[in-house]
Amino acid sequence: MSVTRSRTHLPSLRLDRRALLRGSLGVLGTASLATLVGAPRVRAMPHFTPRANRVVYLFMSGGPGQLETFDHKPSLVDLEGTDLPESVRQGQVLTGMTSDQDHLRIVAPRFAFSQHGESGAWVSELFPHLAGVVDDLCIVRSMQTDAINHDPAVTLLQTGHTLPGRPSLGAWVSHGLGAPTASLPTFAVLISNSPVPFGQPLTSRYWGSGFLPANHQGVQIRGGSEPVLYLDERAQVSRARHERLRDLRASLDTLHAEATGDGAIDARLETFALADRMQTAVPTTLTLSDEPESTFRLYGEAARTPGTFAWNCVMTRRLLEGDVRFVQLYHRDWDHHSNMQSMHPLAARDVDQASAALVTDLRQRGLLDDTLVLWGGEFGRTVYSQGDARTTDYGRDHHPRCFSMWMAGGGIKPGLVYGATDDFSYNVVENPVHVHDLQATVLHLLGFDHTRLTYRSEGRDFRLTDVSGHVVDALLR
Amino acid sequence: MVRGRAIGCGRVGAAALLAASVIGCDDGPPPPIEELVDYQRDVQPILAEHCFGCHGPDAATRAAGLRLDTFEDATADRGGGRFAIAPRDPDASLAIQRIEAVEPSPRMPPAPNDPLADSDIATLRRWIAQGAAYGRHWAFEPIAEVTVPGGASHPMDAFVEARLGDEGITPAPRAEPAVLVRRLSLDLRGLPPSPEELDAFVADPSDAAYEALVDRWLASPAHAERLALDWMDYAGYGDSNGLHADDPRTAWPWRDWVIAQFLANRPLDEMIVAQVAGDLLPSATEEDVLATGFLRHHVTTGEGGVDPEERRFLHSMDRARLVGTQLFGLTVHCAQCHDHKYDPISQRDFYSLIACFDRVADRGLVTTPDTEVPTLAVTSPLWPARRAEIVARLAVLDARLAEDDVTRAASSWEASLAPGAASFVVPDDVLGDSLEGRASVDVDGTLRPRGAVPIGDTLTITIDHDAPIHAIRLELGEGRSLVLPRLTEVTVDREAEDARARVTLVRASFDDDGSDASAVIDGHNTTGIELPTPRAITLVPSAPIGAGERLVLRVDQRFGTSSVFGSLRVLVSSDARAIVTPAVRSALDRPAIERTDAERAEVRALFVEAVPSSPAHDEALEARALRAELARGDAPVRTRVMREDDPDRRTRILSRGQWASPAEEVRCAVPAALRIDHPVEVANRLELARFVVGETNPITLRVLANHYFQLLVGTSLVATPDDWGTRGGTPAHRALLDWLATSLRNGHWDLRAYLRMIVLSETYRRSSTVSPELALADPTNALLSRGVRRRLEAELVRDGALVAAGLLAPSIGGPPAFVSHPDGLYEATGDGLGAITTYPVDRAPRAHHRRALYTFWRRSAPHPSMALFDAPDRIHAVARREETSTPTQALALWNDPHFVEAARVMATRARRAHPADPDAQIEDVFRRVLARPPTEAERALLRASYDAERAELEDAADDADALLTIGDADVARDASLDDAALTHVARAVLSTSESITRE
Repeated sequence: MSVTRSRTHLPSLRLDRRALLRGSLGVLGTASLATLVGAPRVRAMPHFTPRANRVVYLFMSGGPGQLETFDHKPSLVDLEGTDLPESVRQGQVLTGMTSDQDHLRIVAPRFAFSQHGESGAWVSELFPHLAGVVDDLCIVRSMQTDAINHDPAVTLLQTGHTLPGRPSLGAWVSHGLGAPTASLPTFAVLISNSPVPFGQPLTSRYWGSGFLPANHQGVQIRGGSEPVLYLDERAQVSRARHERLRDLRASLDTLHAEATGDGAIDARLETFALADRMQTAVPTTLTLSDEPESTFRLYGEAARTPGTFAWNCVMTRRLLEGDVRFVQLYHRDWDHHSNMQSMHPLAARDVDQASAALVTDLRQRGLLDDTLVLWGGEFGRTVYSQGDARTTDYGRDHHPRCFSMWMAGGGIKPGLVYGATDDFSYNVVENPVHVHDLQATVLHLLGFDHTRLTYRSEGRDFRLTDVSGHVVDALLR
Repeated sequence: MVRGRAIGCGRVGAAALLAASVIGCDDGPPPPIEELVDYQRDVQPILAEHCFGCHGPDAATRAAGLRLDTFEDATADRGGGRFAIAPRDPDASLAIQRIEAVEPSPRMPPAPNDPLADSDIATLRRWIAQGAAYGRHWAFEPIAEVTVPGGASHPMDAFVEARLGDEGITPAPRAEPAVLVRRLSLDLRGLPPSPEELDAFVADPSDAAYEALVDRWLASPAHAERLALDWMDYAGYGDSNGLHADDPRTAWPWRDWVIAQFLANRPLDEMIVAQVAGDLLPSATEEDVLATGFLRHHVTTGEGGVDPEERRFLHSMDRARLVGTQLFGLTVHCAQCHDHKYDPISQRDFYSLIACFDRVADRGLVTTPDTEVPTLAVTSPLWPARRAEIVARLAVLDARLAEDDVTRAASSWEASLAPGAASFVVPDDVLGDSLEGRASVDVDGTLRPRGAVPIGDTLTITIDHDAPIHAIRLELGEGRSLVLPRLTEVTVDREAEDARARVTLVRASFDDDGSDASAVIDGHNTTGIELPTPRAITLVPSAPIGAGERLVLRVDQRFGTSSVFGSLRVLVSSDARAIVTPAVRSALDRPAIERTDAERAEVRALFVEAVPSSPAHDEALEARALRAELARGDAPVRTRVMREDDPDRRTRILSRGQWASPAEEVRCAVPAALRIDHPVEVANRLELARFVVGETNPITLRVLANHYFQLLVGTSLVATPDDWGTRGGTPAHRALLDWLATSLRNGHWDLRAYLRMIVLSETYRRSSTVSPELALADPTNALLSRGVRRRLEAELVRDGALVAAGLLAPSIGGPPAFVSHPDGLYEATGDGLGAITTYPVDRAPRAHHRRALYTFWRRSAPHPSMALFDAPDRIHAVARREETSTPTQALALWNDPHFVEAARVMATRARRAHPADPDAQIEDVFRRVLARPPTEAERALLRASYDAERAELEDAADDADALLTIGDADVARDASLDDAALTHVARAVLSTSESITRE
């Protein structure tokens, strides 16, 4: 554990870290341990000066096709309908959905690409708004992952391992940075309502704390009457009655803390006071009532509807302004094994304007410099068609060997297009970026050495990047 | 005592793999005992932390060809007479030179690691100076026959007090009786004591009374449930598959098996053998096979495209991991890719353990219940006892129902019925609402949901009608999408001024053919009916609804990939004939002589159940409920178990843990480190299971003895109960640990006797109040100088509120309960995939008041108020829970309807018990929650707050009404503003730290 706690609630005691880690942790007893991990305002102690203080991860669940978004392969038009050469596939294991196909026939993307911005980056016509901010973006075309199915692939991106059980990226950041805010959660999670059902399921362990203490788990923000679970009073009550309940409880606790000498009660008094502040701060933050009309021009009309991707993007900016440190946003509907031609534009339409708007908005508010924005799915999609491509539509299977992402702000080099794939967008041929490299780079920008941000569980010092990962210096500003 | 224990000179260890050698025997004068360094306690943790990563057992990552975990290697000549460790000569030891180097480049451990602390270096120097003796890791050593120190009469106290005496510490006195009885009740039963139990013990806190209480509670079903809850964590139990769509699974029969074993106090060793290899026992019973569900709790996936063989192997690996971590206390899975970096576990050891669990025809990919094989069709092991009760009670009830007066009354009722069918009309007033969208009501009373088509929905229809209602008819229209609409449950509540009560429905049948539709009134949203075409269902209440009483119908469409109805109309009938269902009608239309026995029985049943003036009406309703329970309990369910049904399976080591790189074949074997003294060959799972609980395995006994010590005393004797390897801590009370393990073994693994022994100790009974003296002398309570304070587990927090409110449903076992749960959580994450797309909340009120261990455990979306209180997600088994304090916990305690409901029910009870006496009411509430009377200061505080609240409520009667209807429990007709003010007090007390702390 590379983070030192600033204070404890143990009576007249300064615990040294070594003693905590070795030997006395268990006999210390969980109650007193809780006062350590649950102590509010834990100080952050980065390993070096951070470039980013906040992270927004716009997760495109299901896996957008790199060929339809940022990896421009004009030569595929001539190869349409031909079999993928074995020299390219190199015996790679396919999913059960295409492994029994007789042919792996190439299908060219059905969307036009053009160059944009000073960087001249190629962007598909699906993203007119993102094309407009392309000089703020760093597009990585050489992402690689180990997993070929959704659940393990999302698990790897979110937790650094394909099997469940590890803490999520946001939980690691919460663990590392501590809680900088007194009235909002450190790590917030927003899920877009799906306009189309049957996207890939999400599970709370994608934002869970794994073996880290549960106070690092993401707090789900919902677009409804009760944005944080149990935030609302069950029955309408006046402010005076609300305060009376809190005061009575606090007074009882104070009396009992004096009677028993229990330091955990003092700690809990502070966290309960924070809950009280959250009840005020969350509704004030998660509202559109004070947003000017320009917000909806920027993010689109969909931003008026709670639960849409656009609304979530506006809320993300408001949460960041409230000093939330990690916002994880999920949008589904990208998993197009068929109907890519008709469905990919719908998914892109749902996210394009608001994604670009968020970047613009953060820049205009001076937040982009120290806010890292990530956008991408859990893997790419195959160059060959799943099933037979028709003139009217086609589909692509999961593809782990390459996919595209973009990042912006927070110390990332803007206007950069990084990495390259072969002519088939099958293998990375230049500057591969593995998921662990991405994670190492994100932690680096936040001021952490990914090999030193560790937590001991079951006798081992675990880290987000497991046993690998390198910071991709070329992406840094 | 551990401190100062000399390392004996002895036999050289057998396995080269292990740092087993006991070396360093020399004839020099022994050092003073207080300075003697113990390798296990003092040195090995330093080396494990800083050195073994590169210089340990793992050959693949070993640097500079140096290993420091065995005496032979560490002291080998490195060339030119240079030694990494030179016994008795720290200055000549290269390791010390490198560790002490000032410049970062030669210094060990290398940057970016921090240099070793001076105190650690001093320890290493002293250890080398004393001869650098290595010993086997303590947890692998045979359990020592320890001598109980003199002094205290209870052996456990003798160990603890001897140590405290050494330190000159006077331990805390015994806890106050009220504190002790609450602690004992929470520890043994997971529930707070009742006010009566509290009063009885406070009146007579003698040792005899305490022992009697202990014995009574140890034998109680609540105790078995408490142990089962713990064991569910220990086994990683879940009610869902965990991955991808996270479909439900039927695992609960195994949970009931566990409860049944604890209830019968089955010896723990037998329980473990059954769980690991019950199917292989000679003449294995069905229950023995069921026990092996222990090994089938691992997560599974049905995601398309997954390689089934890879998943299958992962399942075997999960089983090996379960046994390795939970029974051997070792992180065996760390050897998946390479030899363990810190512990003497080779990759071969881990894969050999996997081989023990690999010979099962597990399909890997689990898409439907058929693919969960191997499975076993069972009924709950707890069922026979309950069944016998039901059968006995039904005999009594049926006898009453067969008596002549009932027969006569039935006949005259039958004769009184005019011919013809009753007419149904649109109620005077109809209001409709949709949970997921909007709904409008046409002039003809038809409700039409609007907006986007949801996956599932709950419609609420409010009816006011100026005449009595004898029956309700639901006309269900077409579905709104191509998927067939499914009706899963209908409930009817009657609402009068300030009161609400559930209407008992005794019939649900289709109008067209009279067929049964009772799946929609059985209280469960997991059952229901699909309707390909519009049909009407008639619902019959157990008694007519009075004229003018408002009815609220809740129509659920909440299971599976369902669809919703495009229209729905409610009709009512004020005609007494309306209760006569079509089947009965046709029977009545014929002369009595021509009716079948079944028809006669149905006519009679309808009379006794739906006509309140019938004699034995209550008995009939009770019999009806019991028959439904009987049918449910008797129906076998299929659950996952183990079978050795793939005997030819070959298990191979995977190079670097890579699925695609199988290497040499291995066979089932015990990890080498556990068979040093006693070479043992195990041919299969059964022999492995017998080894686990056998005489020659020291570690499982230690692990379990510590586990149950921790469960009661509140603290673990080892720092890391989830890791007994070299990176775990060395126990401060090692002799006590070994004595506990020995006592469990000598007691023939009688867990109840073991737990009894612990709670009878003085150590267990000490006050947990932290005096300034003890805070200084034993700041972390490592020496057990006082009682342990700890936050209650999530389940105990929820159950405690139910007990305080008198709401806890006493039923034991059975399928999991879908307790009330915030709307929309499943929809947000699941997105229409899989068998559960919307939360199928139970509608039987009592289901919400069952103990939390019965709450449906969905791994991808655990019940939020449990997850907030640190309940694990049960993706893997855990040996302990974390404990945190978060603002969201406060929000849950204040606003989760579960706690608000408990507060308001508690308030009404207290007010009724002490009418017009607010002080007594407040004290009643306080004692129900905290099991003690308030102090004078608390009393004053509570009363002042109550008075202020009561005064303000005069102008907020609507708020009070809203508060007093929260939750599923009935709403009292006599609830008043006093109840609301008292609810305020109860909510405050329920959310105190004390209420969620075991003191």
